Amino acid sequence: MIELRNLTIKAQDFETESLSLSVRPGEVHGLIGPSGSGKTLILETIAGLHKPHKGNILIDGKDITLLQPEKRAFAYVPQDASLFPHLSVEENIGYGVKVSNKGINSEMKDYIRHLCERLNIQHLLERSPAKLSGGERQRVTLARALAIRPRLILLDEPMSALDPAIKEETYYLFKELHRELKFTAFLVTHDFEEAFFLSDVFSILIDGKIRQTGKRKEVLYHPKDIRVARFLGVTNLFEGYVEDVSQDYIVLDWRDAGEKLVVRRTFRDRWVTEDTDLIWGVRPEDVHIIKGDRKVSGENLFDVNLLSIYSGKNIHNLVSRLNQDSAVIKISVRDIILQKLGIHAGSELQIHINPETIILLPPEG
Amino acid sequence: MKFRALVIGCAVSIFLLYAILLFSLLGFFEAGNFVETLISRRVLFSIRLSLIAATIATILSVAIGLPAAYALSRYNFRGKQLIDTVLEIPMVLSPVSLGAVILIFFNTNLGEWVQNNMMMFVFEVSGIVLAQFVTTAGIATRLIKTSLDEIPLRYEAVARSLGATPLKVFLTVTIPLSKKGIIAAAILSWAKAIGEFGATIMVAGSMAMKTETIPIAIYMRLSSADITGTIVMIIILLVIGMSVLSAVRFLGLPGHD
Repeated sequence: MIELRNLTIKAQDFETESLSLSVRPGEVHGLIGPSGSGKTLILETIAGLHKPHKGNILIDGKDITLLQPEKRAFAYVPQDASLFPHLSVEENIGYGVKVSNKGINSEMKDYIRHLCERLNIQHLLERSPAKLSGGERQRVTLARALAIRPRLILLDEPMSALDPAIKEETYYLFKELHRELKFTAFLVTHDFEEAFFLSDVFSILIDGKIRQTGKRKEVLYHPKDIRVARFLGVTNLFEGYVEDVSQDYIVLDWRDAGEKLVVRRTFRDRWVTEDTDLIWGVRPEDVHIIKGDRKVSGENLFDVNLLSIYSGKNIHNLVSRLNQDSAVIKISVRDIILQKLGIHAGSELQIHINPETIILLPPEG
Repeated sequence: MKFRALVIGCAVSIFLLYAILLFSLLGFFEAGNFVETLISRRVLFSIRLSLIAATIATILSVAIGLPAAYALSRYNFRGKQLIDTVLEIPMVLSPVSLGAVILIFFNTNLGEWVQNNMMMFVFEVSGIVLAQFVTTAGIATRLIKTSLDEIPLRYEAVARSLGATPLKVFLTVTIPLSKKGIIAAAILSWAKAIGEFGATIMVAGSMAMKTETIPIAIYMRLSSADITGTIVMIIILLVIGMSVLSAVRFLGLPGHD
């Protein structure tokens, strides 16, 4: 197991807070954070390329904080692949084995051949890295990293520069290879899709501090605070007042709208008590538009006026306002749904917020 | 259009300046004397001495300049700024001044000790190499450093993470990636060394068949009003210098497109 224990990293105009996390063997741990949050610096510190200001890095309990990078067996995969341009693909893949003086025996040859086959790069071995496409470069880089059988692979936004189609293909390949070889990896990225596709466990880094660590559902539906929630795309955030707490449900007073809201209670909401203020949120994609002109009655149903539509490739972002108040709520709908609904700016809509998808957060400060 | 004509005019003017200067040599050129002088023992000695001294000085400059440039490019250490500034001394001080500094050094206790116990430099061939080395080492280091600065650090970071020691990274990644820059620095240092006059004459003097490099030969022949001999030596220096710079261009090395 690789552990960061109270690690503080200082750079010229940047300093992380005390960072602690652990990466279990065979796990892909994703560190997600906005640009400039210190992700690469953390990765380089784990690789041994930066000395931490304080704290320790441990492998199976053994302190390696001051160990030279070449002795850690942590293969670093930077953002842009960084294949050595003066070496062929084959020489790149064999570089780590060659410089470590271990010698390429037949078992190692078979392993590297297998890697090349699995990554579908066996036909590229004679080529120069300059003659590879973006996807091919990433696959070769992965082979080069895996060839040394590292204790940990350090991935810095490994697929962010790839075209969407190639990116998805490379995700699948990575997952398949991970399933087979069960390597341990630490990934840093600002791209949610990349992180959620590739990682098993996630840590959220904002302003040099790990705000939360957890598995997919935990991080997505139980963000620890407003900053994490906002970063993870919970753009509908409102003030609420807890009116009632029962075994399975919490009833909120939606302050801005003067409406009641029912929230499904989970064990993670144990901190919520009656007669207290909190922040509640919902992702735009978890707000549903009720089809048809006939109004439906029930819990968490609200009338809204559609203000504007901002269209992406497949997703349309709708900005709406509750009829009777100024609370603005954002809704994401897929292209096909919008076409079926036939709505436009100015339309009167009824929306539903699923009690399961509501996120409860402690008030700021 | 006017601007275009103006700037092209400036470029042509520079060409004409040098062309007229070189063309003026033809007025004194005598083919018979030229060949006779060219193959004379003294001229051949000067050519050989210049080639050997410049080559040794360049090898020394690159041998020390390369690791020094790497240190300045990659590491932070106390006195780095000072060293970086000192590299510019050969560019700031005229070669004659540099030669005078070397000569003065050999008049100090340390300098005398070096001459008595290690190697004689003043009025010796080794003095030529030293003078050329002093004038080129800083420039070679600066040129190599510029080339090293252009190599993205992530290549070295990746190499280390894959198990390479700093020395192996230097040998297997840094040097191959900066090969063109290192060769360019060596060629330009060599070109500067072979044309070096001021520092050489101060340290090694101007002794025929001993310390008479091509530039010193030009000076000596002109001093004795041997115009044909002067022209021969100038042409030799010109041919060597232009060949080297053409080679740099041919190799497509940085800074010489």
